[in-house]
Amino acid sequence: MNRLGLKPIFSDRPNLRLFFISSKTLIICLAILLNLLFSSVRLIAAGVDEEFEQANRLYEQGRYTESAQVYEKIIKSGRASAAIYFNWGNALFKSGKIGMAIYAYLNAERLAPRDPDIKANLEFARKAVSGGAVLAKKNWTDIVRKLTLNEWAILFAITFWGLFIMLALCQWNTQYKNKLRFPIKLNLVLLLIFGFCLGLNAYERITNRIAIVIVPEGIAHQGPLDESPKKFPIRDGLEFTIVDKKGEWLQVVDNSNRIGWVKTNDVVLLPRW
Amino acid sequence: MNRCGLIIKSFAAILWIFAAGIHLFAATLTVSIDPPTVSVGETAILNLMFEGGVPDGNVKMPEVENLDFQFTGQSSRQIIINNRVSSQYVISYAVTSQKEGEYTIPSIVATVGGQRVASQPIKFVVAKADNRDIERFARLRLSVSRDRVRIGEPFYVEIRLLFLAMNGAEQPQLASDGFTIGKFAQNESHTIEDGRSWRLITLKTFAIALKPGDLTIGPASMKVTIPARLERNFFGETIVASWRTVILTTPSYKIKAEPLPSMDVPPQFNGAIGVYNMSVSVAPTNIAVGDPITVKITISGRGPIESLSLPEQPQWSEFKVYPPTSKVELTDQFGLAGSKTFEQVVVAKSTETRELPPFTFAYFDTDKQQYQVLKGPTVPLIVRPSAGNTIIFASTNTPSAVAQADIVHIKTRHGVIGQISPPLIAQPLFWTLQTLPAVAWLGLLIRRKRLDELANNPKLRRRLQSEKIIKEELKKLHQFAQEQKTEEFFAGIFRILQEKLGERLDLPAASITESVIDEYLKPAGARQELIETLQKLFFECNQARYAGQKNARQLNEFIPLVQKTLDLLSDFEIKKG
Repeated sequence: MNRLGLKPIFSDRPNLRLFFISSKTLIICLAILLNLLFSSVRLIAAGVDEEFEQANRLYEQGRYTESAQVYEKIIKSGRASAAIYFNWGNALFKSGKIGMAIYAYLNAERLAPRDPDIKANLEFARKAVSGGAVLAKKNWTDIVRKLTLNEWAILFAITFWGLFIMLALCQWNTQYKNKLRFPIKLNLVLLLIFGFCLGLNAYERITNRIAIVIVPEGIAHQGPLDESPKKFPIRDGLEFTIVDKKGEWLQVVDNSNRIGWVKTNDVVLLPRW
Repeated sequence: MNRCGLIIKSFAAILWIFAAGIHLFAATLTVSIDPPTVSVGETAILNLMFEGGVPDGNVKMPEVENLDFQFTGQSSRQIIINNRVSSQYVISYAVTSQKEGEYTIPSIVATVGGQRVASQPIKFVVAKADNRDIERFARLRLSVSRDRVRIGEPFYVEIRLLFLAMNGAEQPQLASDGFTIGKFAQNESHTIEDGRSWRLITLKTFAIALKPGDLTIGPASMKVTIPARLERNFFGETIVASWRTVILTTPSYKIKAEPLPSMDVPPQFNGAIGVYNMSVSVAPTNIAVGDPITVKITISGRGPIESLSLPEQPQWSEFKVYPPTSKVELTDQFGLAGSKTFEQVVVAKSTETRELPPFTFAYFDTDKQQYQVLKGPTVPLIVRPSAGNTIIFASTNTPSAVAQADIVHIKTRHGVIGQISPPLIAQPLFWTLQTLPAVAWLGLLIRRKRLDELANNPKLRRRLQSEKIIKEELKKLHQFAQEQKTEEFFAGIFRILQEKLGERLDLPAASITESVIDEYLKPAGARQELIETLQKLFFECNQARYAGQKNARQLNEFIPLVQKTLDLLSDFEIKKG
């Protein structure tokens, strides 16, 4: 009551009833959302089980080429998981397509960067590439690559939402200002770290385009012409970083800093995203 | 006869006119070269001038041995001669040669508007280059760090370009048959030579011999544009009157490439060459059967670090060996120094295992010119039985079977399957969602500012309060009028007037009576219309206590009057006192 004997229209106290309703609604909404999410996952996975089992069976029977084709069919249908890419890589490796196997393992690694099996097989395939060596990774990418781009994005989004929700609470009720001072600062620091890592990861994806040789034998030329002098031989599975592109030619650099032009048909490009 | 002759002459005349007409509209191709004589490495411009049309498709240049044609551009123009308009289309090529001689550029054939046109052959003379003249402005040097190397041993190659004046240069070309060449690193500085200060561009790289024998590296060549003619200007300063493009070349170097010695080759040698050190750490050493042991091997030193790989370890037959992972840290821009760290996971197969035999690494030492073997420590192990089922490994009797570990088997579950789609950060919805909390915070911030403003402005707060009460009371008035509740209707009007006048006069609403008209409003210069309507309303409110019931229509007639009074009060500025 104010000095005029009237109930104040605006109050600093939060409307607790509103909070209770919101909490219940929030729980129901979350339950519905989770249900929808799992339903969509089930829907996406529907039909894959059978093909996945078929591909695995073919692999176990030693019919690696056919197995690889079935895995590829699943992936081409727009559905994938780290395990599907991994198994596809195995089938390709066993059928002698090391370049394509490395391509599949790299895709699997993007989805599950902490999976030791993927790392082991990728290293194994790279070792199997005659005359080739593992592309040197920059130091910071080792840390940033521990999580996927989406995981960094989710961490960024969580901290971003958390920060603004706490800031909003402080505006809703000034009593929260003191209580939330430390969490806000902590959240801000985390937001900066996650944002930095997300930015670095995205930057690396955008700037560091990888091409993998998929032909048994080939030649890197000095220029983007068939008539251009030969620079160095290339083999299935060698990995290059793309420097430039001209028509059907790519200028690439290998881990020995050798630069040459290769035909796009001789390599497969790791997608940017 | 005369008639026959006339017909023949007429026919000939028609033919001549027809031929002249054809000639008039026929396309032509003329070739010119400027200058017709150049020195070796210099460039002349060859112009293909088409008149009467544009060539269909590309013009194929003839192959002339030792002549290099580089397309430089094309242009077109309109020419009016004797009131006749003709178009010219010119295609230009830069012509260079590295060999002196007199060349003939043969007839060039093209198709213009479906018509075949051909040029006349043209002479082109390439004279011997005057190196002294070129070296006045630019010099190219090639040097190598070694003249005797082992196959696989890297050595440095340096190309130095010295120049006084230059108007562009292309990447150097280095003849390197039998070598693999790294990427050039560029550095710019100045140097003194022949008593003059030269600008120096140093291009450094490394080379690795791929085959044994007497190999040749070089010559290095570089196409540069240097002054062709100098002259003095009005102020006596020396300026470049014209430029010319020349190719600078260097002598070549003989490199003797020797194979690695075939005697005393350590069994662990797998091609590593350079000068290296090794450190080995093993953890954990107290394990159960099946637990992984990580062997961390760091090899550092000089040599092609990145291409190092771990040799097979036959002495590790008691262990299951997984493919190692590696990390490279380079201290040299060419990747020829630094360290490579391998993480090798091994698993003890039985509790009988008491130690991890030493890791050995062999390399060819390029300083000592002999094979070296680096040996790690023997690490004692405590291997306990596994808590779960006994792990049975495939029998690996031969040492090589251990090293030839296969890829990890396929996964039996496909895990969470998702649609292949761009990552979240490439999706606009993701960023749109990020704006929601920011917008919510902004909304609450504005609300907080508003609350603060109200807290600091009691008059505004009172006005908003009274507006709210008046709004509610006005709603009730309609209801009371419909229900013909005369007493409640006028009580409502009275409350509305109290609220509004109280807010305007900054007095408690309960203290407002009809007397405020004489006490406050009239002295403050209120309009007569306002005073009259207020008096009428107060009068009706008083009358309602004693007068009889009014019907709905009569009561509804008061509502516009109340509204009008409120509007007049809102417009009126009360001057207290």
